[in-house]
Amino acid sequence: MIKVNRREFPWEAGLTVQALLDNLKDAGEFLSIINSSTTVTVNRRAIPRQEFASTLIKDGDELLLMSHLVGG
Amino acid sequence: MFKVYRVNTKTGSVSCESLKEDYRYFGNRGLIAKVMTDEVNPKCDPLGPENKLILSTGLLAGTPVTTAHRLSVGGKSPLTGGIKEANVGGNVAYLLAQHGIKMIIFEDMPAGDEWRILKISANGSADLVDASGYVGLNNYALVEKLYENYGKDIAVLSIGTAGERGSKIASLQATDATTKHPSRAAARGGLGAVAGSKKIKAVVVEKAAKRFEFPYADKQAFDEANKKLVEFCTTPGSPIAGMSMGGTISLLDITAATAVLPVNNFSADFFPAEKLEKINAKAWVERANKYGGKQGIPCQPGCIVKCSNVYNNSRGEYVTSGLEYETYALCGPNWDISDIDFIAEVDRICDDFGIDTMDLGNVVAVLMDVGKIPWGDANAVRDALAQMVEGKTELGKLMAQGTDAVGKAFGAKRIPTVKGQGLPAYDPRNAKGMGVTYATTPMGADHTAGYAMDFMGDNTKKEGKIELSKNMQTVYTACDNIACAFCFPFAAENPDLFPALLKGAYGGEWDIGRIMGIGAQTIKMEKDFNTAAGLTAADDRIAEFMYEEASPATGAKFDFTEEELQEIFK
Repeated sequence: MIKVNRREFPWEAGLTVQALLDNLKDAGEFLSIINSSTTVTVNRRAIPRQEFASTLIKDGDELLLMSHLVGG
Repeated sequence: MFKVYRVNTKTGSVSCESLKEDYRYFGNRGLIAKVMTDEVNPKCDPLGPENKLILSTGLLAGTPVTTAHRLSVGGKSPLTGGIKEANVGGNVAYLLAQHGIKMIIFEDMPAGDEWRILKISANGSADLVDASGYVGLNNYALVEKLYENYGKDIAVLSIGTAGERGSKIASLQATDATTKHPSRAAARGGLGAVAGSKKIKAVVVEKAAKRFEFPYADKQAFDEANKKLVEFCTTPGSPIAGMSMGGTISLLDITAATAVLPVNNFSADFFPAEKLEKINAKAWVERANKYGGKQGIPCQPGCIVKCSNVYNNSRGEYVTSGLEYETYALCGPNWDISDIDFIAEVDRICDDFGIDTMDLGNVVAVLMDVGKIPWGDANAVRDALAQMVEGKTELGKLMAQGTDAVGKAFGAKRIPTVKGQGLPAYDPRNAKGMGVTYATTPMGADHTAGYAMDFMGDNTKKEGKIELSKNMQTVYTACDNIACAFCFPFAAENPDLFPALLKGAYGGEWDIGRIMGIGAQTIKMEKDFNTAAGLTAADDRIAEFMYEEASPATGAKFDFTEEELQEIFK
């Protein structure tokens, strides 16, 4: 299991940050957060966008997705 | 040339003048700062004859630029005691711009008890008409009656009975372009009470028979710049394009994960996972799309951001529209409530009565904190709201006077306000940049005055947050002269888009620095007004308990000294 924005999601070997974002989007999760400006941290370390596809997520990792959203 | 209507509510006269030359390069909030600086005694009674109620449109109103038709409402606030600007979407500013109207200034007070409506006719003339048949109505019934009498090709700005009674948290409600209901609120600062003090029940704007032509300096250059802005906003994957999918409520997935979301009267703790599941962005989208509800609709004509929504009950009947993150969070988790239907019901009651959902969110949370309403008890909240709308019991009357009034009456230790205004839905301990904005903006606790969330760093740390807030206050105040906060700040990251639009519209040389200068000048005028009104550095403080209570989630306190906060003005 991994945690994304404090919620639990299943983990599988070989899961990258980019694949996770794609999976979440397909599942209708974090729809408005996942876009071209999304910041991803894994265990509090920010991942550069160009490394999303090569960064592997480990079982038990905690991720935070942030994006430029404004409340109203 | 742009028109300014001046309405004397004592004599009933309405005059028309041209926009002053030195007002030309200000819009919305900047115009309000100009009028307040030039014409209003800062020490005046907000509900007395010296205060003015000002309506203004933006620098690009009358052009096809997306989100250019926000309406600003301004005056001296009965809630904060300082200058106030509250802006709102909907179709009022769009129709005012069709008539070439840049501002309407309501002055003085009637001697008697005659209520009036300002009617802008299709030919552009403005007249005060008798409103006696509308007094005592709340906004939804009022607007339906106005549609019956004037047809549906109108826009309406109105107050409910909260404004009539002088509630310090009364809003002015604007009709939504899509739903036509009065669901858009110029909510903050009690400006609805200022309208009420002048016995103005509504402003009705008819569609123009002949549209005012915006005096472009270079129409071709403007059109090319506007095409680029549209491309920027509609590119798949851009943050603006994403706003149509869940609107502002999607933000809850971020704030809940970082203990920024207000929970149980700003306890700064996490909202329990089993409750969050019922109310997170996914749950919201699923529920909002049920029963004929809609996402991705524009609140003002020509908007391509489309962050608004229509919310129906399980019978498919309309409940509300424009339900936003602040209302959702402050009238949900902040009351230990995770029932979306109930939150939508509260939003409707507030819009109808004409009251700020954000201040109400704080009022009820304080009542829960002092034990007057049980946490999470929706029925008890319903009963309290009914008392407030009826206005006969002491509790009901007190609630309509805002968070400070309720907190002081019950001896509460935890009163989440700045300058008397209830906090928006970001806990200042875990969103320290937002806390700096709340404390220092001339507006009182207001997230849109400078959205200082650090999306790349740690929001619980104070380092860099003074500078972040200062920059964001400048950006968002510039925004408040030009366009909506859901478009301009994103687009401003591209330094060419808005300068090119303003050059095409007004001519001359524009760059992003000149635009930010408009924001900085506006803040300077507002700050000077507040200083002259008697507000001091001692008023630039967050709610006291946030300096003392550590967040159970992160351990953070709001730990800026007064001297550190005042650095923002240097």
